[in-house]
Amino acid sequence: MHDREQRWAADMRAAQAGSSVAYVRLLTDVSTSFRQFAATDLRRFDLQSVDIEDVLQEILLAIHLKRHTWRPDHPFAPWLRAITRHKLVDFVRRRSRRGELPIDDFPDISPVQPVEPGLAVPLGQLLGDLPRRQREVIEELALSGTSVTDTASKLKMSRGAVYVAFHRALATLTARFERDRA
Amino acid sequence: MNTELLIESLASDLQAGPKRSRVAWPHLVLAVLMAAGVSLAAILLLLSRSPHIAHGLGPTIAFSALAGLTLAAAAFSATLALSYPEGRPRLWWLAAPAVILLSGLGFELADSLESSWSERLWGQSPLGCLLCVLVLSLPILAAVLAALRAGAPTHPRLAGAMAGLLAGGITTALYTLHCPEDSLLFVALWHGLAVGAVSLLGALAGGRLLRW
Repeated sequence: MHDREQRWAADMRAAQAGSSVAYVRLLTDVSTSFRQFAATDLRRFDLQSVDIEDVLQEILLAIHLKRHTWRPDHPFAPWLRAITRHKLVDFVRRRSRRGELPIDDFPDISPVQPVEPGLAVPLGQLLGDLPRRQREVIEELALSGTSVTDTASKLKMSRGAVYVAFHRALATLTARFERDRA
Repeated sequence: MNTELLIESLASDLQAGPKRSRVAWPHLVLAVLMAAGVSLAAILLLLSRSPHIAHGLGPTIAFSALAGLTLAAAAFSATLALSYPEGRPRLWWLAAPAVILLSGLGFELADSLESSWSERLWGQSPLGCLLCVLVLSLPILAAVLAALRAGAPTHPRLAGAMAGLLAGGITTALYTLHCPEDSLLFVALWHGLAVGAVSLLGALAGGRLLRW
């Protein structure tokens, strides 16, 4: 445990100084450790196994976006634990608000929902409200089906920035869509 | 989306954005000072001077300024702690301004006739003072909330409430420059209500603005 704290803190320090090797090692290590933790504590958080990677990715993204808030003279584990908890609670709360039920519980007989007519128009409007960068990323990735690498080079962004913009845009759209339906 | 790919992408994004730990407290101090300057300018330019200042530093002005500044200091410490994900605020420090205010109130009550208490409590324009303190706190509250967004508060509502106490504390201290009332009873009730309202507003705004 003490060992891991030392290792993670050293990697995070190196990452803050710009070492992507240390950063990949740290994030991979954190992912492994989170999967182990999630596998044993699933029930406590009311998570299903399919959710683990989703939550993990949100946690990794949060670590990335808030990486400057870790102070090198402070222990790393409490910082990581606070972010993990924050994202986990957020995820569970969001899902329970949506009232989503595990798909396995339903026999596969529901007819395919016809696409709502008129949805194409609001979609354009919704996208139009997004910040320019996010809109471009969504248009490339989701509408034209361009790969992340190609989108990144086309928009002259790093691949990470494409992911970040994509996540944010999806979060905004989801929130808006839910609000409109409510 | 594949997690390994995500990690790889995040690593390639490492050069963008703030690389090193942002020194947070000077950032927050600067935000507070600049916004407090706005409130101070509004008090000096738009409102009259308190008639009591000319008579030197009376107990009402001294106690309310001291309580306000102590409140601001305690709330500043809590706000700063809460801007980090793992931060633990020292909320019991908030007892200090309460003790200062209560001892001031004790002196005033012991020193004045009971028949004057009601008049002291209601003053001339209680709602005006309440509104003034509330409105003058808003620039500071906004600046602190904006600064907090650069951090990573995991208790957004509490962080917002502390930002409100910080804003309210500074404003009540500054407002002694104008406040025409000369009673700590008045200050404790009406300024106290205003500070509470700012804190509530901060908590509500924090819940919305400080999510990430």
